[in-house]
Amino acid sequence: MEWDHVFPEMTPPPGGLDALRARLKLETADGRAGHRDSLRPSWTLRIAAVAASIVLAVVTLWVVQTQPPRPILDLELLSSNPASVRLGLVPAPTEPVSVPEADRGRIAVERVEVHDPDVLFYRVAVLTEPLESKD
Amino acid sequence: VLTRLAIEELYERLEKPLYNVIYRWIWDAEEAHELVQESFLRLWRMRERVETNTVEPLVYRIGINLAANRRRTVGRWKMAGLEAVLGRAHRAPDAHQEIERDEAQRAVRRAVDRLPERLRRVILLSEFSGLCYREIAEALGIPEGTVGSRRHAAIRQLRRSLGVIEES
Repeated sequence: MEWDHVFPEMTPPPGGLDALRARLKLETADGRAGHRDSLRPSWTLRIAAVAASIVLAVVTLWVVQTQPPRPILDLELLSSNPASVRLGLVPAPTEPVSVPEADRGRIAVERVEVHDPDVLFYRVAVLTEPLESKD
Repeated sequence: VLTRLAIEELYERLEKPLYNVIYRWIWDAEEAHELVQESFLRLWRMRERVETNTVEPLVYRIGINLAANRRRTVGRWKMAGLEAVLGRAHRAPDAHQEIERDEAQRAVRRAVDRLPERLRRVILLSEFSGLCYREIAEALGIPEGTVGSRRHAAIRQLRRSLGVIEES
């Protein structure tokens, strides 16, 4: 074999330049579109923003719901107003803890007997909903 | 900065030699054509960083690297037909000659494939690109003196494999 036959020159398929022109054109168009797109918030960013809003709403709701309820009873409700008692407007309560007149339909207090004289133990019942009439 | 027109002119000039170089790496006409296109697309994408006086070695560097990567990722062992190798299907030589040429080209392919990659890069560029030693050295990132020594080593190995009787 002669050296000239080792590497015969081949001709590439026709249309290469036209194909390249088309691809360069497409590449340029993609580049411009990419530049325009870069000015807008991407879909990823939009989705992340929506997800963050949802998470924030859920967390806020959860925090509100899990906060301890405002106490229904307080000492001022359960005992007579000391100023009123001192003025003689209301009788002195027989128990250190009592329920104001207006709340007696829904709050009940019962003293529980314990052996230790230094301890006063009360059981308090509260109706959260009005009783239904059986009529 | 390379303009689109400059790249198109460069393509017209380098398409054929680059195609011949890449083909001898992957032995697939369609893929070689695709990789020539890809080489110029890559050049287009880096056009703002390209110096016009070194663009030709750069195109060959891109093309050879693409071909080498393709060859590594896809084990190619398809044998090329005579028409594909010679690009002369329309001549229809007689059957005996065709068989002989086909066998000869298979032998060439085996011999080229057996060359170490560093020698193959040099021999293909020196045979087809028309680049001088300095430019080949630039394209391959090796010293200029190494180009000559590797070329001679490649030719010696090919001649031994193929029984070449004469070097042009």
